[in-house]
Amino acid sequence: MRLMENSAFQMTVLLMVILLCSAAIFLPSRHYHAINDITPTTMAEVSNTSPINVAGSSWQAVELPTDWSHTASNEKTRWYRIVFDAPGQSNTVGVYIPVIAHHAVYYLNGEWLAQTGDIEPRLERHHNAPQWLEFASSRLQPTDNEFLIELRANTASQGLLSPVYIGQSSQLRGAYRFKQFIREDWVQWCTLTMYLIAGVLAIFWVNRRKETVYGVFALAMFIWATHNLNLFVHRIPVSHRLWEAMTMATLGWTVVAILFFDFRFLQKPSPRIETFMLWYSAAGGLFFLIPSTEWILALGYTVWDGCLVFLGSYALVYLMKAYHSEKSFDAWLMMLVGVPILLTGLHDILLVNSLWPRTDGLFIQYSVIPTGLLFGWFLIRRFVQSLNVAEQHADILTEKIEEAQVQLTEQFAHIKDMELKNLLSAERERIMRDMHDGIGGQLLALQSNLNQKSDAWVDPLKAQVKNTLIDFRLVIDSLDPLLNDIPTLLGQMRPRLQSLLDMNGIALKWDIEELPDDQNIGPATALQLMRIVQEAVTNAVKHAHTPWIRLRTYSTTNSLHIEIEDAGKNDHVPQVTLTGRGIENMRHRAESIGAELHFDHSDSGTRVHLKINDAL
Amino acid sequence: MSTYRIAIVEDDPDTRRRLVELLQTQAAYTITDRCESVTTGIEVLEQQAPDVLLVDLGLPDGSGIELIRYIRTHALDTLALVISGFHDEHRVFEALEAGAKGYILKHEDDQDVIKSIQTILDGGAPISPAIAKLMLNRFQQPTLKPEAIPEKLTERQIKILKFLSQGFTAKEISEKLSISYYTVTTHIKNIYEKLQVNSRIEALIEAKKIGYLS
Repeated sequence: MRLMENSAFQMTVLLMVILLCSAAIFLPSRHYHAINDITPTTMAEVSNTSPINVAGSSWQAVELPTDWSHTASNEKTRWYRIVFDAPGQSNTVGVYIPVIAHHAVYYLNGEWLAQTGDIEPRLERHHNAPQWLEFASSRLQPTDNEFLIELRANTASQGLLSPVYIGQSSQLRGAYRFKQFIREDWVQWCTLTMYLIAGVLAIFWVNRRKETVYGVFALAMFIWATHNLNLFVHRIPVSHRLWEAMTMATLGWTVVAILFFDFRFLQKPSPRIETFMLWYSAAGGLFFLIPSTEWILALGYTVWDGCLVFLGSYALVYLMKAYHSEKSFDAWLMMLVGVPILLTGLHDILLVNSLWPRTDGLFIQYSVIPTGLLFGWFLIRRFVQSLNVAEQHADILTEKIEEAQVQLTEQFAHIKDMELKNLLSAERERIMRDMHDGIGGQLLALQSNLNQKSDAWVDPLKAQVKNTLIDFRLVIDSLDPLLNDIPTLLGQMRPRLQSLLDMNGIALKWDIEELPDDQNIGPATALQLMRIVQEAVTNAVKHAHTPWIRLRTYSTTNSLHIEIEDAGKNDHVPQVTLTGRGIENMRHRAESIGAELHFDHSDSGTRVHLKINDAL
Repeated sequence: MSTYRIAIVEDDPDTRRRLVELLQTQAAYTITDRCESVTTGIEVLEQQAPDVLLVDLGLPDGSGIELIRYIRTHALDTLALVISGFHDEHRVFEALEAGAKGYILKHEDDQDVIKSIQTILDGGAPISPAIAKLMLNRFQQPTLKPEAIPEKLTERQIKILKFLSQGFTAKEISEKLSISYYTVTTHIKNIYEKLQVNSRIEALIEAKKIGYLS
């Protein structure tokens, strides 16, 4: 594949194709060789008057092949006579005429032998079909057999007769069949295929209008196939004039359609040329209005075909530019295919203008093979690529849908979780408010009433109510979903702690570090750690004789830490107080929430360290 | 020396009596009225136009927030202070959004109550950790689209609110951020104002949505 994409290789191949096609089209000898030792008859006599039933026709010698376009006669019917000896040792004799135009009636020794179809209402056209006659050798005389050909053409310039082979049919039949296959049978099958392709692509394009290349190619195939009808339809359904107009117009329209395909496929339109081609195509419709077949042929073979030479040359230049500017592999392939079209087209234009032997036959129909194959491959490749892209998009879409489904499922679960949390939070808040409004209000009222009494016996009650209120606040705070992070929880406690410390002349060092947001602190944990902190601070106030207390928080992987540190004497750490109720309560509270409580004692102070595991 | 004319709206007779007695001991304050409902509160505002309105939130015929909004919508010069029980932060926050200038905690000692009132009248802006956190939540998770919120917190203000929510005092915050104490309190007051502006805008938008306004 890399070699094929190499520029030097590509240009070499292109050059070789040009040379090979040129050689194949223009070099072969036009001389009619012997077939199985049967030499063709190249000398005949021609007369413009019928020798049948008319004595003394004037015969003139003529060399075959004979092309009426080279003669000045206006006759559309001419007679040819060939005199031959019976071929020896044969039961059946065959007559093989490679090319005639358009119609012939055959006579042998004065008797009607055969004819190529009808003369009326319209002359059948056999200009592309080889002729084959077979008869018993008993119909022949040993020598001087007369073979007459009544040749008719639609116009005085279109008549054509190639050399004639007369000999054993077994020796000539193969050559005829081969010629028949090449000239007609193959073209018929090819044309049918082209119509089918055109139909399929047209249906495809109707359902996908934006893929204009399919529509254009369908049109090209259809028009070209219609043009091909001229090569094998003998009994034409319309007048010769209209048939010639159709043949002429469809040739030009085919080239135009192919060019439009090139422009659309390579996505490099040429607006001016496209405008010219549209006008050119419109002018092709005028052929149907020209009243004379001779004028159709004259204008068609010169002006019309001349423009085709221009368009074909432009196409090659366009492709060369596309290839050169973008190193387009497709443009190179199109050039490879364009060369046969151009050369066969050039051959046919020379032929119809009698600048090349008309007995060669038209060649352009054969260039449909590489054209159809290449453009067909282009379209199939494009179609397959579109399918692949669509499949890829479908796969991506499926992936995204699956991802979205997973996300939706996760989000739904999250929403449900949040809803539950919100419900729980709302319920907690409701309980909190009920407690606050009910019990809280009553406790405050009780405290207020007691504060108005000055009796000594009321003091323990005041202290008890105060402690109850403190603990009640802890419970309320633990239920508040707003206080679901440790710094805010401790911050909320600070005024009460501060008040206690201020009363005892102890400074509070507030060393709270910002902790991660995703703390997993529920009401139970919040309540217990607040009680632990409260107890630790109260302990330090009572026993530490410290000038300051530091409250610190920090985090490690998955754990949160709270430290209460003082700089006091180690009074509250004798062995007996290690198991004292306060410390014991703190341990119990820590265990209940899965936290670890440590006490570090030294002469410089005490540090209570609470580690809350799995808090993040 | 100027005195502040104070009206009290409190339905609990014990609390009301305590506040009246407490304020009467201060020469700087004159009690103009005492009442116990939203209706009578509105009458007091219309007729007496006090300098300060001490208002409880839970009143028998409505919420004290209605009185706070009344002050704002009628552009009265009255300063609204919320009387808050303990753990009323959510309701206090609503009152602050509505336009209250501060709050006092009724369960605090007399000295602390007087100190709170004076701080607010002197231009201070008390703010508890819970209220600081509520403010952070409010600004960071607004009910309207971010582009519709007219007032947003600066980075410095967000930092200050975070420190406040963690229990730091204004003085400690000023030391941590190496700014003056006055700057910190000014920021807090500005945060209050932004809160109230956003709250008003949101209320207008919501009213417009449900067709109250053309």
